[in-house]
Amino acid sequence: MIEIEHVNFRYLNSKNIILQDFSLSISKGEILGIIGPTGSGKSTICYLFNGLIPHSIKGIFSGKVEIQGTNTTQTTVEELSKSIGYILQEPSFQIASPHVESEITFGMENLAVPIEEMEKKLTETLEKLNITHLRYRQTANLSEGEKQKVILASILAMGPEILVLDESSSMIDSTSKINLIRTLKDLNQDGKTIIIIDHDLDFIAQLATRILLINRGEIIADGKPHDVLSNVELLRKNELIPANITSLFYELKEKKLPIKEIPIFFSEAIKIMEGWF
Amino acid sequence: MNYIDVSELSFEYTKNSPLFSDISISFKLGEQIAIIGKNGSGKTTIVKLLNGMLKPKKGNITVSGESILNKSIADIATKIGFVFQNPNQMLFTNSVEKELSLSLFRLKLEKDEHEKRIDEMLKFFDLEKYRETHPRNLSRGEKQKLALATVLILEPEAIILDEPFSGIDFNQREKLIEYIRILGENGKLVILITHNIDSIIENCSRVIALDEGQIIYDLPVSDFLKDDAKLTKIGLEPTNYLKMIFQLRKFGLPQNILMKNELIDFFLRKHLV
Repeated sequence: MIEIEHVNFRYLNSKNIILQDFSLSISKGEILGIIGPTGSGKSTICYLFNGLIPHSIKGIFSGKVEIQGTNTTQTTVEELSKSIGYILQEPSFQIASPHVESEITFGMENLAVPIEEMEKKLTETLEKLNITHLRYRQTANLSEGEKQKVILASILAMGPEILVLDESSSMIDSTSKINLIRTLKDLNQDGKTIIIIDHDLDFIAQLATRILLINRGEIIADGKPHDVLSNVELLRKNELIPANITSLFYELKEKKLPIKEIPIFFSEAIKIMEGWF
Repeated sequence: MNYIDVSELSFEYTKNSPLFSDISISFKLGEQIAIIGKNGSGKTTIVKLLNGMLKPKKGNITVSGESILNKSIADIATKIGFVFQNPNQMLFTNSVEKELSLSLFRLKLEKDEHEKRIDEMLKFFDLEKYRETHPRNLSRGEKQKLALATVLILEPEAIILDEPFSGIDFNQREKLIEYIRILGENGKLVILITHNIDSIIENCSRVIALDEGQIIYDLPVSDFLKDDAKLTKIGLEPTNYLKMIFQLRKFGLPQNILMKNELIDFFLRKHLV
């Protein structure tokens, strides 16, 4: 689905090489969680997917990126946006319309979706994300979390094959996060490929089928969620905050409590602790 | 005595569609308070009313007994510092030093005092080596420190932090927790605006929970988190950590144990017996 081969990249006017001989292969139907400290190169990798690198973001680029068999240097950002939906961390950078309804239909209009289908998708997406009540609101008066949900809706409505969420749950409340997890899992069941960058490892744990840990543009770990997200020492070494339950068990294990495997989920934790009462 | 008093405040973004109707709330110096609520509950609006970015339709806000409704945002900033969620929205100049100087300019201090405060802030936040650096070339964590420094340099008695824990990594979070602790020890009023419930357990003693512009709860953190009923009432799901705590209480975990360190001590004692 996505092939990155031997990519090197340095931003214009910067001495730092962000990606050096970077290769990555993502299969259809994966939910890939990309984690790493700030400045580690996570967002830069995402700019490769949607063609912003090398088309819009200036820098020194070499290597090859293929999305569904198309080399990104031989197509346009507009063309790639039909198959890749990219949701930025900062919703204000992505909102282009004065009203929620027009914001969600904007992308579909550009894809020339017929009006009846557009109306259907608009209603469905609003319902899916529990934001029907925001339909006629002005985007300028929305809270940051509400803006994030509207941007998610506008991207989901376009029905891209690949979804990239770059810290796009950071302002969303806990109830909406659970709803978002459900929605993303449903989309994945329908065959969508999902890539999530997030500092909230609890959120990532509940979704990802594979975890990529990046630091200084290098792959530090690439494995199953449980193996990477329960490795507290590896996470801390890379300036990441383990989920609260995981760090609690790590500390209990350090203090010699009988723990074989450090859990990453609530249900696993309860199963262990039940026996301690 | 209360430092900030909000009395019978009403506010609406759209005519005849009030977000707040007659809400009253007080804050004392030395308190560390979380304002929580789901998206759109009015958290950020209340902060914008406190820092003068929005004006109420009705009611009053006083700081040290003096109304701030007719004061400028710049004047209010010397009493109530506000740190935006996104530090990029707070940085305007082309060097770290100028950023601090610009913030301080409104106090019209003597040159020596002006420079002394800049030096102190650079040292406190470990930004001395970036004195001449353009803020855009700082990492997000460093930008966040600089944004906090531009607020603290005015020595306000109250500091409001909007979602300070989102999108930051381990080291940045540890430092931020440390700053919040130091502010509290120095008798400052610290208000955290957050939807991250886990973060209030370690950092706050009082919770104000909003829903649709109403103050639903104003309680000590331990009372608010006695069970999941209050979170459910304001439309927030407990985090996995809290779900675990609530479940463990059903097995016999004492009600007063909430923080991670308390939980570790409890299990250690239990295993030694």
